[in-house]
Amino acid sequence: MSALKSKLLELIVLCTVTLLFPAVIGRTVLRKDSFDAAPVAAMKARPPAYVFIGDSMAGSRIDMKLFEELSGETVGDLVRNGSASARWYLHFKNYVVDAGIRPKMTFIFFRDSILSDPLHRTQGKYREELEEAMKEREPVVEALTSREALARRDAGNWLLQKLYPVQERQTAVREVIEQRLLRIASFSMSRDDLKGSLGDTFELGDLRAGGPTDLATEEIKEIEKFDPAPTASFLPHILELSRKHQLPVCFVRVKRVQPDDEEWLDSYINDLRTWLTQNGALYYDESGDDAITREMYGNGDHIAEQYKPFVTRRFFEAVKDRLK
Amino acid sequence: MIFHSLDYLVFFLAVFALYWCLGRRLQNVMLLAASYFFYGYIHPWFLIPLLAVTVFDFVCALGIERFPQRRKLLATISITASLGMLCVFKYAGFFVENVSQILVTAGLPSFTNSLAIILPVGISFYTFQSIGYIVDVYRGRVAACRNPVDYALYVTFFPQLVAGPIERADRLIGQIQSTRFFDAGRAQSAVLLILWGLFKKLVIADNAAVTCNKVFALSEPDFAVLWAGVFAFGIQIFADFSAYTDIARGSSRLLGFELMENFRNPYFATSPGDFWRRWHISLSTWLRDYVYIPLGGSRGTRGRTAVNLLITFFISGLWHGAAWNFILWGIYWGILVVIFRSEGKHEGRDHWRPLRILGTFVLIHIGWLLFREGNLQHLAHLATLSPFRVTSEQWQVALYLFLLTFTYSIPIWLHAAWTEFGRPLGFMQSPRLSLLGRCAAAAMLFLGILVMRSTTSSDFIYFQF
Repeated sequence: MSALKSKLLELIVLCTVTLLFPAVIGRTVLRKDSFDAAPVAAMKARPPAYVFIGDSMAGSRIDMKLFEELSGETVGDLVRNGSASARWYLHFKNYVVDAGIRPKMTFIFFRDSILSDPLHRTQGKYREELEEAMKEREPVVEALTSREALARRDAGNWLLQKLYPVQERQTAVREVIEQRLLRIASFSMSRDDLKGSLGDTFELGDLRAGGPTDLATEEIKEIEKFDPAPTASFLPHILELSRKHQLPVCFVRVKRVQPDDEEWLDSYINDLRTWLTQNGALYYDESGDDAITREMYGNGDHIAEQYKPFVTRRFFEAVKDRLK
Repeated sequence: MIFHSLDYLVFFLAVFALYWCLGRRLQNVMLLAASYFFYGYIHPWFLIPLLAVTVFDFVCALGIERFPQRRKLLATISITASLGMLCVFKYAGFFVENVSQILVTAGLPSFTNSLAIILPVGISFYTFQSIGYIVDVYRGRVAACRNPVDYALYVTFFPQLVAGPIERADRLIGQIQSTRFFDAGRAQSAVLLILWGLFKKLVIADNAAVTCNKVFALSEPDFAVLWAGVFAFGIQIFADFSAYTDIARGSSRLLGFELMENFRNPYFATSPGDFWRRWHISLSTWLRDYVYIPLGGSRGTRGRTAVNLLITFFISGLWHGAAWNFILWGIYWGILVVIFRSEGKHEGRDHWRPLRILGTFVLIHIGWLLFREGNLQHLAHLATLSPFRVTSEQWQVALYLFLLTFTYSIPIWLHAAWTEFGRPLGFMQSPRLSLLGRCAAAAMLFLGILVMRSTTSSDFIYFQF
């Protein structure tokens, strides 16, 4: 065999091994059952009258203790940073409905079109976080976040996920690295305390207004027309649960620091509001509250820590009549 | 189009397949068309300044050669036009903003609207590359290129168009004009180089960026956390920029071109001057040859040499961006290089070398703080932070952040130590590495990218310059 042919063959072997090795290894990795039942226990221990579901938008706006004081009733906190509609549906279904909790009202906070974007924050690192709220069988979540659904939206990503399922272990690998490092770095405190200190160090309230961050900078997907079909979003499924178990739900659209004045958004929000109210849900739009000014924002669309009590009070004032 | 996207993979595979089916002349035409497509993929109007520089400098170079008595005038016109365009796109907004600020301070009416000009990516790179060519033709170091396709390809060659390396005319035009053959052996090293670049970008740089972005987003970081963030930025910028260079070099190698080395273990530098011989080599040698030496270099008095160095580093800072922190960063390096210039080369065994490396590493990172923090007021505040006010809890938080960055960057340190103290070609580029070794390295890199890459990826840092 000539030197040229031999080198060419080596190149082919190199490329083949490189592409095949992670594909083969990925198929041997098993999934773990990771349903986190702790919130169910917490809810049962202290049954809430009001439940808050949402991401850091809700977290930066609502001071749970203050809301309890204002309303004189207990509050359940199901707010998780980096969550989106898939997880909100799971929180409502598994931590409220299935747990037998009967709150007077469940508030679900959202930004613009996120509510009807079922794939938002469901892939990569979000997948394992999502699995924490998933029971063994979750047909609605599986259908709306399936690889086929992803393929319709992002064919390249879908192909990569299908070829290399090993990617699903990204969060687990990161977790192992972080746990080991927490053990090394925590020389005078426990690992959990150090983790807590890390959380405190980078609390939203400590971030510079308008400063650089990787938080909440994802683009909100442009959805031309609101689609109420059960195959298009988790909304119909949330409302079905709400109706079936007579658990009122209020959807809260948060005001953004830089409101998107795209035409599609106005018509989308109009359709969404109409559909929600026609189907028995309550709707509150914070965007109409002029008392929440630009100065009150911290990082991105988050409210700065010092204005959190103010915004909590504004919110309570706005919804208190509906709570009766 | 960015290197770590599926779009680039598809684009490159198509270019690669078609390219090797064509003869040299058609290869160049096809590469030029592909380069324009690559550059105009997101913003087609970016092609306008690129085409303007190409056409203008091509004609000027021919004129310089044809009319030797007017060559100074033509070179001046060409360089002024290139720098003028760069100024309009890159510095006009900065200039207007600062003049407006001065007017306000003086109590005079200022401009109500600041200029918002979108900066075409890579403009600083291709402008400098084109200026280098004009100067070389003026000096008679290279002959003016007579083929417009060849010259346009020299300015536009897609792997290095957006973030370098800033190539010299004699090297790149020479390769463009010669016949290229596919070499499967070199292609193997190119595949490894690309994978190594992708690993550095997606695993090391992007993970370091998460820590760095978090720290620099804090309104009141303490001393320990701040420097853990600066260290993360040091790793991020090196991994990010050298990753771009590696992918550019690997892509070029697959097309039969060899681009220049841009980094040589910069964090093992033993002095500020040594750092600049190892960091962004294509820019520092460009500044040496086209700014520092024409200013007089080190031929004059010590004072004159110091001034020349300060001017050169001031330009280097300004080249990086139209902001005061970059200017400060440039001046900072100028002062350091002047101060440490008397440090001679250490022949034989240098027992102080580890300390020199450590000291330079600290100086480099002080520079990175200036580079990363764009708000001067905040920068001044950060400079006043004291290590004595840090609680034990915060030292542990900082240690964790430092270890997190360091852990992801271990492959870079191993690679650097290997090339610095072992084999200069590096583990993966070594011709003695067996096929099994190459396959194992490539498969592990790819696996690492799949399971360890950061979930948030950003553009290459040097795209903004």
